[in-house]
Amino acid sequence: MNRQSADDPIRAALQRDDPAAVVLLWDRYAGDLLAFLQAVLCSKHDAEDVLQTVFVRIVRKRRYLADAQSLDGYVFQIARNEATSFMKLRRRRCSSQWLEAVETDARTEEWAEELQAALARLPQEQREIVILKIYRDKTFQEIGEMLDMSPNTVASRYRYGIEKLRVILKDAMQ
Amino acid sequence: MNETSRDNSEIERLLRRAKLPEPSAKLKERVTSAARKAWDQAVPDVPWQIAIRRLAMSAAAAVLMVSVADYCADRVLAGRQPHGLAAAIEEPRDLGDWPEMPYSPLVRHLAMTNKSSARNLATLLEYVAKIRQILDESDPGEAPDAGAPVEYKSRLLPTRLSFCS
Repeated sequence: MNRQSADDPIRAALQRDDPAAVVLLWDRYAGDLLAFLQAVLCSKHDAEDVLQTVFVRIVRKRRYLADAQSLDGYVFQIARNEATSFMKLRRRRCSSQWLEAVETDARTEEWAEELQAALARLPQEQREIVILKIYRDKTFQEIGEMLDMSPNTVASRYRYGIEKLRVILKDAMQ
Repeated sequence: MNETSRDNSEIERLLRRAKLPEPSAKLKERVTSAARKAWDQAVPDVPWQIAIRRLAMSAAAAVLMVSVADYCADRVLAGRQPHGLAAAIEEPRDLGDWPEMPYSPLVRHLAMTNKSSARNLATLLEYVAKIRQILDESDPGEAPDAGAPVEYKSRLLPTRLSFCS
């Protein structure tokens, strides 16, 4: 099912003013939004709090969402605004644990921490794209639709991000 | 170039040794219940209502800005006058204060007479008394000289005879 046809049941529920749209929105967006918010805030706990605010905001603006040209663009714009407001209030730097190791051995867990610190040093706009690409398996086209930018811009930011990570993690890789 | 892309692939591989946690069932419960509560409570924003609200806010802001500008302008003008705002709008009492006033004695006299007679009650009463005195002098009950021409009896009123003639 492509993204456009995945929009249809959500739009239909929103137009009926049916509360079932909340679950549909959750199934469609929760994972991507949580990843995006963690990329912006570098904190699992803060990302979960902001995710709740984002869903409440989406519900309040559901009439607009039903008529929006791009559901992805609208939802992620709300998420970005909420994350920005949250950062202005808290002024918290990347600190808490938000990446998990795939395996539970000590070496991999240590590596996850190093990766987390390296990702935190990337500019936010590069970090968002790297995380959505690597950890949510999104294409440049999909990320472009979510973040309202061209696939070429997404690709170049991704490339810059990966190159910067390569420099940061140079020692760890050897 | 190949080495760089190989390094980048290596970075991607290393990045995949970590993962982002998926949203938990507990989080889903928390978020969806908060969203449902908001769904029940909030009347969703209707676009035309928002437009009307914004228009009203803009109008109120414009009125406020004009009022503030007006008030500030008054304050600034008053600040430049030694006796405040009243002094700023008061007419100069002396004609010499009006630089563009023609200074011929006649104009000065007329202006001063006009001012004083209009504003001074005593001058007005004096003027009325003078008129009355002139009228008394021309009263026909005071044995006028029948041979004298009527025009000379009064300096103010036209004579009936002259009308009749």
